Amino acid sequence: MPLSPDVPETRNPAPGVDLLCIPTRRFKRPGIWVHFDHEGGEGNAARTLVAKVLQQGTSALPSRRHLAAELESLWGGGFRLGGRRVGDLHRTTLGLRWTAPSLLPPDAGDLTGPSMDLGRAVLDDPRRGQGGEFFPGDVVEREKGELLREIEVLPEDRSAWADEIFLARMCKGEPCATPPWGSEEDVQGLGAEALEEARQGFLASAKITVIAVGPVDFSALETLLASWLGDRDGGVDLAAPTVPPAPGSLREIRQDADVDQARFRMGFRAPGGLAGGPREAQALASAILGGGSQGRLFRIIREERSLAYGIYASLQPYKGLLVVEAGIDGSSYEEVRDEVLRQVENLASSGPNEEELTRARTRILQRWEGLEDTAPGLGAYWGGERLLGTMSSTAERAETLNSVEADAVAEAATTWLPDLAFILGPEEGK
Amino acid sequence: MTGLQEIHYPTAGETLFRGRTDSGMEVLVAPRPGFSTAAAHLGLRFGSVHTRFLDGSGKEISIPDGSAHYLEHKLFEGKEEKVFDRFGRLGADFNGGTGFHTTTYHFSTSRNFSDALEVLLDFVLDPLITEERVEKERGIIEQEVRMYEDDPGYRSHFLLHRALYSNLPIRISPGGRVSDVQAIKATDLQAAYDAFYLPSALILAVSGDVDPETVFAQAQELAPVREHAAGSHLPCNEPEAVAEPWLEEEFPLARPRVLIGWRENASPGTGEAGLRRRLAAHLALDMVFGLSSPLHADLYDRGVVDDSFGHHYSDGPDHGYAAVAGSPENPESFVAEIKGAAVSFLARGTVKKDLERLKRAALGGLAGSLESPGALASALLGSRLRDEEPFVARDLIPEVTPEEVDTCARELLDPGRSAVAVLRPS
Repeated sequence: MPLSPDVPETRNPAPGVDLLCIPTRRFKRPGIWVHFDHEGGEGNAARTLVAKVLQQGTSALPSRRHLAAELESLWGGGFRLGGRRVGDLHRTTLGLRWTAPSLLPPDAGDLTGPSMDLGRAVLDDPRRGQGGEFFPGDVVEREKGELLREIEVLPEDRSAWADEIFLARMCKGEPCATPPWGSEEDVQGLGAEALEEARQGFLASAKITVIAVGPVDFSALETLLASWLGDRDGGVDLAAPTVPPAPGSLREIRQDADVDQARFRMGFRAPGGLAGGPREAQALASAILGGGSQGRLFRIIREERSLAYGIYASLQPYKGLLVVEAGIDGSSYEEVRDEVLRQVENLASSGPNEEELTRARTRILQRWEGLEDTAPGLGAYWGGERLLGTMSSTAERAETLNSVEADAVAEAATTWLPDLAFILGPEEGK
Repeated sequence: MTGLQEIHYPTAGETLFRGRTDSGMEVLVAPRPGFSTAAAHLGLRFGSVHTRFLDGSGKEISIPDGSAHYLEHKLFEGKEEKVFDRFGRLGADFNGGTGFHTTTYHFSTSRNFSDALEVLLDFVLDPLITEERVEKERGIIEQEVRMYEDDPGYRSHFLLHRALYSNLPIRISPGGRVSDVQAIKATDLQAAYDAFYLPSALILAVSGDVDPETVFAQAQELAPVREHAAGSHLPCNEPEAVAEPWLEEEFPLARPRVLIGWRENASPGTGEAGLRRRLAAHLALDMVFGLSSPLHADLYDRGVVDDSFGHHYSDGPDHGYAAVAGSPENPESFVAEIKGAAVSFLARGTVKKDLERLKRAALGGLAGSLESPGALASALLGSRLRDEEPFVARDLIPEVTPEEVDTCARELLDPGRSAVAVLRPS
């Protein structure tokens, strides 16, 4: 199927609220994703904790058991409320999925309205304390304990742990250096008042993007959003991402840990990778360096030298970063580091060969074509375009992508500036 | 149509084309008109547990643990050209997977479907396995195994298998241990390949905007008839009692990881009866430990369980067990509470309206799980590898009764067949 030239209709049901309507009818599970965007940093902990507290009940469904039972009644409705880092932003997402009426018994009806009502109730009408407190004290303390436990056990996920240490060290002082859940101290200091402020912040001050995909009654959704959020004043203006200068020479950090396999990360500042830059050339360069099994790093470091099970590079267009990641034997660190630098230099000086360029192009085009087949894929693509302020269809981007020549790819790689090489691994010699 | 049967499943909203090539390969095609990607999943009933078998001539063969997984890796090497390169030129995404009882290979692509299908059938049916090639892959597989061994969830999972079973090969992960990987030779892989990788043992499931007749004709052409006899798996004797009621290991962790398992006397089996039993088991565990159960709510409110708490049911041709997992500060009291909750449920039994709600959720989840061509092809292959009829679950779920769930729960949560695995912080 050819790539779609269509750009979703954007409606503005309330100040600072964009509603993207993607009316693809073939999905069995339509979905709505409501993104609440803030600058990342000191508010992360409160937003993450309140998202957990809000999932402990509403005034009408006063426990998480009641909420779970309601979702089951809605034929296995999908519900998610949680925060993550997107470049320097902190994005909290309310995600709702349900089954299309055509696959349910006739008496099930259309579940769009009931699903959206449930999502709204969680954010708008939480369970309050019996004495009128913003939230029940025991619930706040229990969820605080739960979040602290999650922070405590992060090192058990070696890869996620390595990512956090790497970003904290490389981007020290930048908003993205703060984990989405803040720090242990931030969480400890939170009370019900701060959580209520964070809850109101979602509704009043966040930049809100609503993405609805599938057989959805968009007019009814627009009306619902207008009645829910119509009184807000428009939300904050989010700063465009900037890329700090890279250090004069590559920094290196090694952290010892009781692990079997070392985790390798290498970061490059990539100002050309931001939305305003030559993003298709950047995407091609990144794919040629480390895009899956066709990337140079995979072919050389895994296939030729057997140094890693996998090694990949990914470009982060919301931040202007290129990150290489791999799981390696700790003793191979220097060899892997040097090879990554050599391949980046080689790509910048000599560019890709024709076959590499064709394969990278095909890979990217196929990824875009595949987006059309799932509601989350389509929603994520347009959510990204909205955030970058580009709103380009995949067909439009394909036209640009197909016109990128090898020298433009080489030029893109010249803008990658090495910043930090990091290894989380067993003590040297062990 | 020739060789293909068209079957409609109105409740699932699906149409399936099924047939068998002259070489015996089963082919299933579920068209998805208007979708961009098409996916093909190819699999067989040979997995990591099949380390002892009779080859086609009846000779007994033993191969090291991890051999099925190593063989999967080696097939991707290709005969004359790496599979990475062949799929790479076509732009297809591809991968393989080795389970305890099955091995699967798949790709998805939005272009060149026929070319990609040719690559898939060719590299699986016509490999070249030499000592030199096997040696080259060893370091990569060792890194993969080390990656798994660093994962506490993975470690605790296999600790539970060792607590539940004395002899079954599911005690060892599909990749094997690093020492197993170091011991595997090309002759081991070739013996396994010759015994089990026959066209008649393969199942091909395809979904996407494809023509079923064309897919079938291609499978017919590319899967040659092979005359030699297939190998057969040798059974493993497993005592009825659990191996170790309480098994511990140390690991670098912040908090203990605990898994409690309840072992069934036998596998739930295959076909419709097996599926029915599996559905009842899942519903029973949701009734006892799911987020909407009163027991779960009570345990959560009292701080016994947290968001790390989960439950699952696992089965295969040689086993079946239920398990719950958590990261409590005090494993002993956690185990006592969970076992107590299971006993409470057995005394109280299934509440009909709760079961009806859970069945609704299961039906909705099932519809969603079959959306993309890749997910649908994978589900079709999975059901056929278990010898189940595709899409039958959609019709069986509404039929599950409270009595069936209670019977299943009583058999499944028998306190006399439980074992505990604890990974303690080192």
